[in-house]
Amino acid sequence: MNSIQRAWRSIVRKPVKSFLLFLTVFVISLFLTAGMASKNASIQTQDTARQAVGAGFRLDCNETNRSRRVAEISERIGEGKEGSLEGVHQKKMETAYGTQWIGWTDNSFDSLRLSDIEKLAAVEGISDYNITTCATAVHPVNFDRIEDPDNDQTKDLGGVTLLGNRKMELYSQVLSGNITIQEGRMATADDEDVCVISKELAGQGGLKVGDVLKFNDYHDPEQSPVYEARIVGIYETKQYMSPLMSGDTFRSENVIFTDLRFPEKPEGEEGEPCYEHAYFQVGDVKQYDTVKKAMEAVEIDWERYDFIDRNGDYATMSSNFKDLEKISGLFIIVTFFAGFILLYLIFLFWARNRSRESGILISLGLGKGNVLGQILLEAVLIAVLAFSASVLAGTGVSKAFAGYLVNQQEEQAEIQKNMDADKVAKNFEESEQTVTDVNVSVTKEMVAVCGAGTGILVIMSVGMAGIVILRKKPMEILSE
Amino acid sequence: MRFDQRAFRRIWRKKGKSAVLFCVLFVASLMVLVSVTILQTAQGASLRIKEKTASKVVLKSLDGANSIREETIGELSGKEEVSFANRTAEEEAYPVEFIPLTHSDSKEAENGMVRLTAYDDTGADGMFAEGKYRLLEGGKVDGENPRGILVDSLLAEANGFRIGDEVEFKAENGNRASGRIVGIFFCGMERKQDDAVMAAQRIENQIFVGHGLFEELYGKQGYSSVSLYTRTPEEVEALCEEAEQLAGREAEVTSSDTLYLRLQAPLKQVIRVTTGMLFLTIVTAVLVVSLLLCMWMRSRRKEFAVFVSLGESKLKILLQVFTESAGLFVLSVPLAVGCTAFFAGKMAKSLFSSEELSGMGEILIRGEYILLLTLVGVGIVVFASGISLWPTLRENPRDTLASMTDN
Amino acid sequence: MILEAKKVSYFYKSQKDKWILQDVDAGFECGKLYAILGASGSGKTTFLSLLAGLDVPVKGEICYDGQPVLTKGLKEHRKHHISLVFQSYNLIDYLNPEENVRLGGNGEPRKLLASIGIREEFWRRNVMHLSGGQQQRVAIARALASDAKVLLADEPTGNLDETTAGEVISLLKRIAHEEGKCVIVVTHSKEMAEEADEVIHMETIKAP
Repeated sequence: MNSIQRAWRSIVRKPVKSFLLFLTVFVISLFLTAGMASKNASIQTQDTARQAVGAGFRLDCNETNRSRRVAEISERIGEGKEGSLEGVHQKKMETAYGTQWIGWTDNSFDSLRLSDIEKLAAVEGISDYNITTCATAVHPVNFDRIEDPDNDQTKDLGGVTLLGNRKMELYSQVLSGNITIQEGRMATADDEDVCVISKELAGQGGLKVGDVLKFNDYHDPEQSPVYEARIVGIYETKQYMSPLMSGDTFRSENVIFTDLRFPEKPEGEEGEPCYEHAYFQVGDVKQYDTVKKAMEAVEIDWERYDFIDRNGDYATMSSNFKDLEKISGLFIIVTFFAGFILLYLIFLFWARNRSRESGILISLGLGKGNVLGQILLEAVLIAVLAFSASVLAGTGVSKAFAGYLVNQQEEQAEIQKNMDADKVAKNFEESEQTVTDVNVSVTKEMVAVCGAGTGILVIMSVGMAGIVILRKKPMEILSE
Repeated sequence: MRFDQRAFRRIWRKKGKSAVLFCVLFVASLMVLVSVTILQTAQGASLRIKEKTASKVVLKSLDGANSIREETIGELSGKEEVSFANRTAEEEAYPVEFIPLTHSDSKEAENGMVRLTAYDDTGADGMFAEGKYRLLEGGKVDGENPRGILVDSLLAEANGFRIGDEVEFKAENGNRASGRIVGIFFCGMERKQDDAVMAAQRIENQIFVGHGLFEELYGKQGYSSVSLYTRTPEEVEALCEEAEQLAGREAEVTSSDTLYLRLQAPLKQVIRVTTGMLFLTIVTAVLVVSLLLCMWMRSRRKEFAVFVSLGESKLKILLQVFTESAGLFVLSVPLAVGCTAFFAGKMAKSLFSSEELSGMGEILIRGEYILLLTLVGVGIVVFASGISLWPTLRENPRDTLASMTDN
Repeated sequence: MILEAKKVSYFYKSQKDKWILQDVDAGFECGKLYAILGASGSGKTTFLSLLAGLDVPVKGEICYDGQPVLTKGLKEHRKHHISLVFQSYNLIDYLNPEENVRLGGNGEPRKLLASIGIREEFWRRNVMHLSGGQQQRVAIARALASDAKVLLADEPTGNLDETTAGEVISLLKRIAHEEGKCVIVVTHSKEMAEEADEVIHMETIKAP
């Protein structure tokens, strides 16, 4: 009878022993594969959390460079000469104090260059971008603004503030969650002549989505051309936005968001927008540094600009996220380490219980290799069966695990619903799964790794136990 | 011979098998303890993330003046869930030996003054936090520099200010105070202001200071707003209600926890995944130990049959088995605890980047966990031994002896 | 002499200061039944184990057919030169009697089982469910399955009743005389000693 025949009979005719070993290997294999699936789930959930924090870059005008350019152009216009050149203006004025020279710049000079913005937005890793105009004070023609009755309005401009955005959802106050839409929607890149007003402004004037607001230049409210914007949304703030300047013109409730090209119209500079900030959203926050390098390599006149990191939230948390990542990695190492050691010990224990039988077979003239081969074969057979069963069971376990993970996520489902309705800014790339869904499946790679590991371990443990037994003389074994 | 004597003799004289069983119990205990450690670490990291979401309750004075009382703030910020209170106070002051910027020719006093806004931390709230003002040079004003000053770049340029310069102010009550410039900021809207705007209202003349300097000028008056940052963002609404009850008459109370809301679900899932893995680990450890004990008991059926045939009571045999397995388990626990403590201490320091987690070893190996592990572990081991031994004890010893080879 | 022990000395590794055997000389021929007698602890089982190639003497050598067994190796010796019957049978519990016999060698198991008095209805039973006598017969049949010329038996009747013991003794005698094998039995049994062709006392072959 050869070792294969003996091995088969040993497994089949000692069913309880075989089943106990099978069950033990099954449990450990399941633990290993479930552990790997959990690690994948862990990485996904951490990634979702990371992306939820969001990060990006802001482009602003560099003030020092601006002053230098003004001085250069002014020199070119000529000292003591009136004139305008490249958006810089000089003019002589006669005042009560005598002749005074005044200089000023227009939007064409002050604005960020659209071509530069678009070059930067095209960098790989930038998922989206926004442009925000300067806060533009305009006169409200057909509606009343919010005013503090106790304030002295004589020194105020008597206007409201327009803020144009390419994509309102990427405006900083929206990204931070301070601004949310109460009714309607936000202004988008495709809109023209639209506005989003505060709920206070809407409440005061009985304004609603669909109404048309009229604005013109506050310098000449009587004569200047009037421009219209249709209300597409009403927003509310958690905290009032800090006013840029004093006066009711700039108070939070009087801030009106419009499409990007509207503010310049009532300001009287139609065709000459004043872009103050550009925000570039990073698609994957983990690639932040790589994307930053790529952006800095873009060929634009960088001296004109300040390139600002807007990853404050993520930066403060990144070390904690890294720790979470390491924790997941550590868990899987501990899982594998413990799992494999247990597997090794179990097989060692099992093989040691075969010592007397081994002694008998050797005393009958069977070779040590033959005897060891039989035990190894039994171990491998049981291990293969148990591992296969654990892979099948693993699918069920991972489904149950996934169910446990997404349980009681009503809050996030609500947020998901709001996101879908464009009411709340999404500031991260949505990955394949929805917010409430986590993939906990057992993959082929996991199976291969666990299977190979288990196989190696079985051979090692049985081999080592076998060697210890078989090194002894049969007489020693039988007398033990 | 008593059952415990037999038990210890067996453990000692069958060292090989005892060692294997001991190792399994040790690895299982270690696995559970380390998993608990890791779960706590994950919870710690999540907690840090939650704290950093800057969830807060904001009180804004109803009249816009510095009318939120110190006592109110003291009571609220003394609450355990409040990690930090950022107070704001605003007043106008006269510049001493420097000139505010103005385009207005008004002779009013306001046109010769600057506006001081005091914060505990200029970076946490207000214009800097909203990104409307940004620092070009230097750093913010916070607890480390309560006499620090932030000035606008145009004001600095006009007056030749640099980082480190002393600047003095005078209040209307005659008090004087000075501070050091720690940062220079810029807004971008300076040029857009109307010429008629008074100096004190102009952006260039907005100066941010610490409360140390502010109180020297104006004494301990109230505050125009306070942001109470909470350690427990999930309870921000409760804190909001408490603040409403205490300060509802002097301030408008709102809450802000958007970043936390965005992170809440994924963070919960992170903890759930880790908890799930811990559960998996414990179940596996229990099952493997139980199965091994079954295998061990089965291999000793003949031995037990011999005892029974010698007239030994089944209870004493059970007690012997309990003593052996529980004894080995209890021996393995201190080793497992020691290894876990070593792991948590040394390896954590080298592994984790953030300082908060490098102290992992101190927080985690609590007495109650060790006690729980020992008690529950002994219970499981005893239960598993009993279950696996019971069929043998129930069987007729002759049948057992007849069916067994020596093993 | 088919099997010889030449100045064989042995101690257990755990008790190196205590010689179990010292300068033992003995020779065994085919066609004879030998009984080795001795008091408990005299080293008879140890001597038998050395003859069986289950261990190697510390000093001296075991020779088979004039050649030291180590020349061709112990495995060869155990497989082809000797066959072994234990006091506690040492059957493999997950193999039935037919399969246990097959383990011993190429002999036809059914014929062997029948020849030693095991009926067909028992050939495929769980070997552990046979009586002591039947198990011992299976063990002997397993030993006979081998083509070895020497059969070594360590107290083969120790666990048997008188009648069954008598049957086993007759069987062993038949194996020695009719099949021409050299049968060496370690025993306490007077009946076995009486039936043996030669009785060897351990005290006489051991050095003082």
